[in-house]
Amino acid sequence: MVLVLRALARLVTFVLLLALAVAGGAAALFSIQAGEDPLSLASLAGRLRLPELRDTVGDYLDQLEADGPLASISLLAGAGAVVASLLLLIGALAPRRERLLVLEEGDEGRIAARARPFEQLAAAAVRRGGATDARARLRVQRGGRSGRLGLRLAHPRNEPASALTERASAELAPLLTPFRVEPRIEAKVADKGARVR
Amino acid sequence: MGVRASRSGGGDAASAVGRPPASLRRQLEELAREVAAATPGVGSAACTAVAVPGGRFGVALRLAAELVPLRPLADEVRSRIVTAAVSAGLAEALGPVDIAIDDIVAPDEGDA
Repeated sequence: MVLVLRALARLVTFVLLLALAVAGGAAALFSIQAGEDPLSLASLAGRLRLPELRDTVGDYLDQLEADGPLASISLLAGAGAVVASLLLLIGALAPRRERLLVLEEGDEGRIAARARPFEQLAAAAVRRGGATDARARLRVQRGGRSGRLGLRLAHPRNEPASALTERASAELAPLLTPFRVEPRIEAKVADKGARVR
Repeated sequence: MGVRASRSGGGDAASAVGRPPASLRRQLEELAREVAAATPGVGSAACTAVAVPGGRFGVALRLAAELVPLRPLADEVRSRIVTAAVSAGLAEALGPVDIAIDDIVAPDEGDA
């Protein structure tokens, strides 16, 4: 739920910032001239039909003051807007908790690792095994007790992928076994000129 | 990045101006941070101690480790902290020791 709200908050933020940038650019552009000239603010208001909009809004506000269905609908819409705002606030402000990969938890305490150092170690281990390039991505399962490590590695052209994958698995075993992490290795041929580091 | 400067610290300055001795919690925090930072394979360490049921203090460490196996490193850090707490007469106050590996650093990065 929070993930959806966070994504929604980011999207709304992006759209609003984009709209603000466009509005700012338009205001700046139409401030070049004055009066009724083509690049004046009065001209911009005319192009955006702001006078007509003012009349429409005026009519709407007049109807809103009177009892009737429009007032009820507006009340519901206002309540909906408040709820939407609160949800967006939750999406924007809810703290992001990164999942930890838990190795051990007991009376003596807990030993855990964040995903990033784990990925760095895995990539380094695979490079030691002869990969020219390696990228690791760890997905920690709920509860942090296990995970899945996606590894993309590039192998030299003169070496079969299977041999490198085997060596990579051997290099990774001491790192992954205590953490109950399952590797998924994808190997591709290295770009021309790439060397083992 | 990852591990910020320790929250514990400043003990020397406190004693220099004649403040009362550090609390048990603070002593444990300081001890755990110093021991962890001195452990080979640890780049830097941040530490927080909090009271836990039973009148003890749990220690939570966040480490930036060098490129070494994580499990043996965490075990070594915990073992050294327990030993140091016993030597310092703080064993009764030491509760669970939580260790989180926060980042990997090059050996010279940790010294900076």
